[in-house]
Amino acid sequence: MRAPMRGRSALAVLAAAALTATACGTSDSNKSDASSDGAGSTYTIGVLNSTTGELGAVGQQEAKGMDLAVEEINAAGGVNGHQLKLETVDDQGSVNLATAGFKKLATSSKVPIVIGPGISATAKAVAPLADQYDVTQILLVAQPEVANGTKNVFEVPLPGKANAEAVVKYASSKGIKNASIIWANNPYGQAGNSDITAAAKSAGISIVNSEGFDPAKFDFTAQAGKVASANPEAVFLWGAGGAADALVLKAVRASGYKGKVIGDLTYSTSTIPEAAGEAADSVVSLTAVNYGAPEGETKKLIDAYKARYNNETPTVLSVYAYVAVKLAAAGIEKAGKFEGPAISAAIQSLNFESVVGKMEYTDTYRGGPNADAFKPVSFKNGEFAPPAE
Amino acid sequence: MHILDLLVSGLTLGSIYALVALGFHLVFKMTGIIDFAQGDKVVIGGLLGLTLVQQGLSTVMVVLLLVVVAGLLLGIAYDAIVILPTQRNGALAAMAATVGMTLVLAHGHHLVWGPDPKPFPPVFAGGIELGPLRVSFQSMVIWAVVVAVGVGLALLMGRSRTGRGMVAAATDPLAATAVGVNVSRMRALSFALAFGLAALAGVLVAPITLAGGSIGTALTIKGFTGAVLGGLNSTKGVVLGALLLGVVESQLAAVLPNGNVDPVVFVALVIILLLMPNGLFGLRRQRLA
Amino acid sequence: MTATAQDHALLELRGIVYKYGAISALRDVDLSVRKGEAVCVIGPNGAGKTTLARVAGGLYRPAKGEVLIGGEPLPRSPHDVVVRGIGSVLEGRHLFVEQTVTTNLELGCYRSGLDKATVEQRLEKIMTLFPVLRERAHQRTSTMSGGEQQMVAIGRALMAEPQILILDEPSMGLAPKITGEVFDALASLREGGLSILLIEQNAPLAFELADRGYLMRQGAVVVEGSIDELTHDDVVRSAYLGA
Repeated sequence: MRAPMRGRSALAVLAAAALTATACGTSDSNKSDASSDGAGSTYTIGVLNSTTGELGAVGQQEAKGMDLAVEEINAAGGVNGHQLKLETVDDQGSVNLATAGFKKLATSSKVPIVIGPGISATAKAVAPLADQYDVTQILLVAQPEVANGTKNVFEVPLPGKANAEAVVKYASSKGIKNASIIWANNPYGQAGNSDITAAAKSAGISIVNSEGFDPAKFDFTAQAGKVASANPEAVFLWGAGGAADALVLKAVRASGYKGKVIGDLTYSTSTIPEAAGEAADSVVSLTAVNYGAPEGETKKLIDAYKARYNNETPTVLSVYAYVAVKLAAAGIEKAGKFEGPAISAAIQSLNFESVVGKMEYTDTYRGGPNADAFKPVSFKNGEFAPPAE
Repeated sequence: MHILDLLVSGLTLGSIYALVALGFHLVFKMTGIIDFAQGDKVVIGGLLGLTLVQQGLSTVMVVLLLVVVAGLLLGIAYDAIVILPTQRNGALAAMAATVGMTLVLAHGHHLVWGPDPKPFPPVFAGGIELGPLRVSFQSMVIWAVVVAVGVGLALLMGRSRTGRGMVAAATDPLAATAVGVNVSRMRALSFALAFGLAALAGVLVAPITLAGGSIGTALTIKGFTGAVLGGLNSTKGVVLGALLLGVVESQLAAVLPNGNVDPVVFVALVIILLLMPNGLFGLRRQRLA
Repeated sequence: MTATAQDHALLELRGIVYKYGAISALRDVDLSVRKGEAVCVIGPNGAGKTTLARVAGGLYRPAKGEVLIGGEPLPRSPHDVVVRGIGSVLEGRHLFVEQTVTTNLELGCYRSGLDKATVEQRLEKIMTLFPVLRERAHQRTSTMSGGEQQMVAIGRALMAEPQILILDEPSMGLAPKITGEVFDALASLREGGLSILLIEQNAPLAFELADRGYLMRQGAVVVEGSIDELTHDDVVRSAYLGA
């Protein structure tokens, strides 16, 4: 019996480690040096996000967008004469650390406004705290239901449901009548699957099959094969925002499927072509930022970001975070004081115009812009491009 | 035809698991320790390879060679820093240390290389077409390396003087010392070989799994599962177990909803181990402890 | 101990102190084995006999005192001791259980760098000494009886052709008949000139083989002398010879 005992206890150790892995350490604590209102002092905005851990990539992308926005604002003289500063707490994607981090920001650092988290689970956990502590919170998640019904919580990202509607709407405009869905088997992807299914139903597109994929894996031949053998007019892809997304796209094309592939906004990441190769040129992604044909403010932002970050294109997540800081600054400016409830009221009344659309918040709706704000984007030879037709 | 496609991808998947499983086997057989950082070592190997490629090294064999050498050195350091301090407290303490190392390595490479997985150019581009069936050279190279490493390990442990000394050191350190085996050196050598193997595997699989990211844990769990399924003590066993796991997983993914594949596989593993405690292909007569 | 005994000592322990943490297992132990001599150490459980065997075999480093082989201190590293002609047969046999008899024996001369033919010759000698091992040559040692395992353990230590064999409780757990076979083999080795340090609880058995002996209690030597002297010692008689 030795081998199985070893095996089982070892797996148990591994599982325990995975649980505790997320429970160690927060980082950073630049004490807020000004919660007073004296002109010239610094306004500290709290940031709560996962910058390490399994979802560390999310927080790191978002941090870049925020840093750029803060630099731009400060270079232009700050907000009502105050320079902005970010104080970041890393929640490592853990609900416990996020809750503790929010309380730390609200009570010990005494910030009146917090940006983040950008992950559903942690966002859901901390959203109720915003009203409890009278802190304005701008979430970077795409689920309006998390923020709706609160006094102080807002969201910047375009809702996932709107993304699904946009995907289906685009398919309809191309005359698609039936389609398959391949979705990441995590909360984001599961919601995507049901949203697309619902949107397709009302648009008269029949879903011939629906396959989940595990974003922690790397071989998707089986899922792609199943879809290819059904041979629908289009394949809808709903990614996880990780490496697996591109590999799924690659597998779909490798299976010999020749129809349309339409993806959610995770397929408008600049790394997609690197990992998916030629297959990237044939995916159309419905996304919040018009990467394919940027102009005006969008072009300005992309150029500034590239100049700041080694010629990197900002991801949608970076742009959301950038917008969140700009929105926060506009709210603080309009409120005229650095206090949670006043900032919240100001943000709600702003109808803030951004590169990802207009933030039209009401007493009951606190989500980001709707389906019309999505733009179709594709790739050509590895670079962003408008869709071919 | 579809089944054949899945068989090819399943064999490749299984071979990737096998490279990890062989690391588990090597360390277990030669030191008595189960080293759970095996998957993360593979990821480090891939990232080292990527760095070399980005530095402009384009000769595959040179990249592989340098990565393996780096792996061997890292293995010696790994032994000295992670394993040696636990030696007075037995194999369980060492295993706990390796579990800790999974976190250190995973977070460590996120710090150095960033958390996102990075595309890795194919080490061996192209492939052959057999009718509708396409087999990439990358897959074939991985298959071949699994066979070569498996045979090499079996020969090392079964036939060579050093290999026998390593196995002896793991089985009974005191007796091994009495016959003149330098147990510490053997342990360091084992961990060097295991890291070297993992690093080699990392470069070979990176074009498929991408380099970096959070794949380490999945590789560890699947490699370990394959090894235990086949029999952790038998070289042939771990390879066959891992291949079987990859093939079954691929075929199941074609008929089951994706989320059900792993649970089904793990339940099957538990049943198999209850019936055959030494794994499907493990050594039958061993009576340890 | 006389000066002449020291001059001719093959293995000599001087003032050995060994501690497990705060507990002293050996307190200032002196012991010597001359060339060609068989010496036994008897004593109750917990007297420190096994610790003594391991210190003498160079596997444990004493806190104080020194172990000399042929007048020279033992090498610093325990794994180099075998090269100096000391063969240890450990208590509980400590075989490489997953390996065959032959592999166990071959590992016995791991350090000697011998060619295949010489190894074969030595294997042949062991098989002659313990004929039952010949039939079991390719059997895994974990599947063998205690007596057979003990023979493998002795054989393994002999493969390096040591000057002195240190045996720790070779009779433990063996049936009397098998014990007899093992001790007959030891006697023939002694006839052939091999020095032996025998750690043994079974005093009458030990006295049959040995020329001299030591009685240990609580980590110290309490009586030493020739077998003749020991058999007439009151302490030894009452505690070990049932007299």
